[in-house]
Amino acid sequence: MIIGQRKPLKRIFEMLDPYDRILIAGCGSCVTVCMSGGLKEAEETAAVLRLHRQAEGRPVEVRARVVERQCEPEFLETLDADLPHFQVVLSLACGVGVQRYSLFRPGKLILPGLDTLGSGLPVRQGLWEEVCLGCGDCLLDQTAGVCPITRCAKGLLNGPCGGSRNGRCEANTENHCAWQIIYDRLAARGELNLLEEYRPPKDWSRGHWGGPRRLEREDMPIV
Amino acid sequence: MEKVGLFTPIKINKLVLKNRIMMSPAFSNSAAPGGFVTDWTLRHYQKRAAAGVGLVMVEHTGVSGYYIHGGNRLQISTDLHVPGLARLARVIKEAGAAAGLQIAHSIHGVGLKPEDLPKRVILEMIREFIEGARRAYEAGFDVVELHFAHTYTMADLLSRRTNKRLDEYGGDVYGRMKAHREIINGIREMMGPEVTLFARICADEFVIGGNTLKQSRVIAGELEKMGVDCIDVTVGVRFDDGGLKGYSDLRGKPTVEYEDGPNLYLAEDIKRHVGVPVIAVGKLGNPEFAASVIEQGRVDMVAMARPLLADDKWVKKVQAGRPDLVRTCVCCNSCLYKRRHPDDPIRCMERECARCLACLRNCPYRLPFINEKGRLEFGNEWCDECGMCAGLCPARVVRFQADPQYDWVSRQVEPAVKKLSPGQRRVLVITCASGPYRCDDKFLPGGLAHSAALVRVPCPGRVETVQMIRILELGVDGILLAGCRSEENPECKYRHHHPWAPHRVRRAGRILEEAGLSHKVIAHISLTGLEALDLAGVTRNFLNGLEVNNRVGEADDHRPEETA
Ligand SMILES: Cc1cc2nc3c(=O)[nH]c(=O)nc-3n(C[C@H](O)[C@H](O)[C@H](O)COP(=O)(O)O)c2cc1C
Ligand code: SF4
Ligand code: SF4
Ligand code: SF4
Ligand code: SF4
Repeated sequence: MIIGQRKPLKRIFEMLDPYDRILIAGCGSCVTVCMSGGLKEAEETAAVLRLHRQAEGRPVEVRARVVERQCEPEFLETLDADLPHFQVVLSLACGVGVQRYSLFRPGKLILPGLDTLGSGLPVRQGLWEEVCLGCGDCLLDQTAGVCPITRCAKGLLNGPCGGSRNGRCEANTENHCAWQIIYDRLAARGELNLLEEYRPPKDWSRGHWGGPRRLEREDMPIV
Repeated sequence: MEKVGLFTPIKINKLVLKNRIMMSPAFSNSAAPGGFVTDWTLRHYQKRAAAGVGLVMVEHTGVSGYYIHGGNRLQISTDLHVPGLARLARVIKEAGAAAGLQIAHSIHGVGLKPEDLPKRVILEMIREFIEGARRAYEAGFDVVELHFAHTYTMADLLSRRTNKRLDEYGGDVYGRMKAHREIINGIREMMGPEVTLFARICADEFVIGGNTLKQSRVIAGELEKMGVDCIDVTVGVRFDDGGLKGYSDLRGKPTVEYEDGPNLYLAEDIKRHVGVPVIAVGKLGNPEFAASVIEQGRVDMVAMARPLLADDKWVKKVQAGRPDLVRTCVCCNSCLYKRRHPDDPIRCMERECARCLACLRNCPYRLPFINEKGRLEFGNEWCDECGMCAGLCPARVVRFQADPQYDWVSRQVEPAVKKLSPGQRRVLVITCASGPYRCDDKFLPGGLAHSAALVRVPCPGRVETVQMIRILELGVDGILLAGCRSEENPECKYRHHHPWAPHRVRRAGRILEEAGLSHKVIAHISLTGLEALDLAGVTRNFLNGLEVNNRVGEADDHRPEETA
């Protein structure tokens, strides 16, 4: 799922500084699950914003709402009744949701309240980690289910680099060496021979670097 | 004798219903200004009728244009309302169900009590009910249900607690029923004996001094004698002592912690005291249970409100032998209380669950589970109401009567804080309400009454970060969460919350720091037995500490925090 993190509150306060009627819109899917942009966080952001303005002596009207998924216009429509009253919307959805909302309601200023951190998994309760960059050419079949593009600091296709110590990455010892994990998992499966195969450079044009990608199902237009 | 089941037809007066399932009258908040039927109203009822409900009882519809209840309610107060209602009756009947209309009158809606009403208003109301019934039958409804229950005028008159009238419309249970008798007589005189007339009553009001079975048995018996064809037995939803979302209200819409059919025993009892058919309502959405209620002859029909909101095709699926497909109502009451906008029509909000599984992972009793259909379900039969799930649910789907509730800050904290003197430093102390660490208000004297407020919760660990920030918004300078030492209190039902307090305090502290509001202090402390006895001293230390120590998340404490 998509993970994201609330922007630093200072930044949020700055963005919202000129306004005194603000709608904070949470998203009920991915970012609710990673506990950064659901109803509860919308309420929390609203409360701290009011507190901040209280301290500044400039009261503000903030309402916290949530829709099931901000990336779908039909869900966003359920906020329409409130919209005229508010000068600005702070969206706590991922970047997808924020863009969808601004495109859908071009007359309204929709500001991002989260920094999107990509596609991640819950490592344990309260900790999420990015694990997939969406490179467009998945190679998990060759790497024992661990993505070196995302998790190896150097994005090596033919790792390891030789710099890892005690299973840690030399670029940042906080991180586990992806290739060490790949090695251990392949060894456990008796598939170390996969490491001997040379993997030629990937077709990066299928990744983001070829410009935004599209997915189309020709059998799915609304007719 | 032939075996009777959910799908056995039933004849009431001259009306034959194809099965024993009634869509319980439930306000849909869909009327246009003035109380007119809208397309939304039509679709709402049409869908349920088309899915096989035997009798669709349309919601609370006001017989008066003045004494109406809040919300976008339907009205039948003038002839202008008839064409819309006639369309409604027609779409329901064309979809294959019988159509009923519940008619009601609400002085509660305008803030009055029975004793405030001049006799003229009572007589007028009686006439309005009779006119309303006439219009309903003329609009094509097969059944009219008189709303003699819940928080409305006719129940106010019936109630032992609220009817304090000294004239003939008050007094003993017969006097309290005089208006009802006149309404029913009037309808029968005007429409004859063949129209089908139901009455909905509260078998138990669930308020102190309110009607219980003792009165409602008499009421039901009298209604039968007056010519009512069927008694629809509900309970509660009286706002006299608990208010909205209070106990009585909650009994009428039983929430997650109740077993199936918690009010069935009351309907069963009424059935033993009358000869006409009796309908039961309240958490009957479990198909197996609903069927067993009819098969065992406990009542004659079952009514469902929320289960049909959660799944409009409930009947169709059950009749097709696929109860496994039913989308279950989790009894969160969000449909009524968590509408996104006050003008939004009523619909099931349960799908707002983000399936984050926090409830499943953190319930100390491992009750929520993934069922064989791969869906998340609450195994609430064994729920201890510890409130862990409610405190963690990021989508705020799980909300029930476990403190501190969703609206705890405005309901409990705000009044307590308001009593403090604004001129000086003010703090809120949150202590636990259970176990040997329960502290009493005696700590307030000693010069603290103006600067410290005390609020109790089952466990301070249950107070959410967002609630802490909302409390600061009320203007206090600091919050002290004073919990117990869990190792000294191993029996506490809420002990599972205990470890959360330092985490939540830390997060709140980080948020304050980020926002540049570090002059506000939130601290957590685990009281020793001695400190619990001297909470005033602990509070005074905390207050003094506020002056010197502006660091967040740290009590001014002389000893290290052992839980952090
Ligand atoms: C949204 C909602 C609206 C309701 N409106 C009415 C109403 O207009 N008249 C009435 O008699 N009962 C009303 N009730 C009570 C229901 O008819 C029913 O008695 C109660 O919800 C318990 O049944 P259930 O468990 O099947 O929902 C309402 C309940 C809900 C949830
Ligand atoms: S906007 Fe869409 S993609 Fe983004 S968090 Fe919400 S549901 Fe997920
Ligand atoms: S919102 Fe909750 S109580 Fe209402 S129908 Fe849906 S699940 Fe049931
Ligand atoms: S209230 Fe407590 S016991 Fe009940 S389901 Fe929630 S976490 Fe489990
Ligand atoms: S905690 Fe709330 S959102 Fe998460 S799965 Fe449970 S009910 Fe759904």
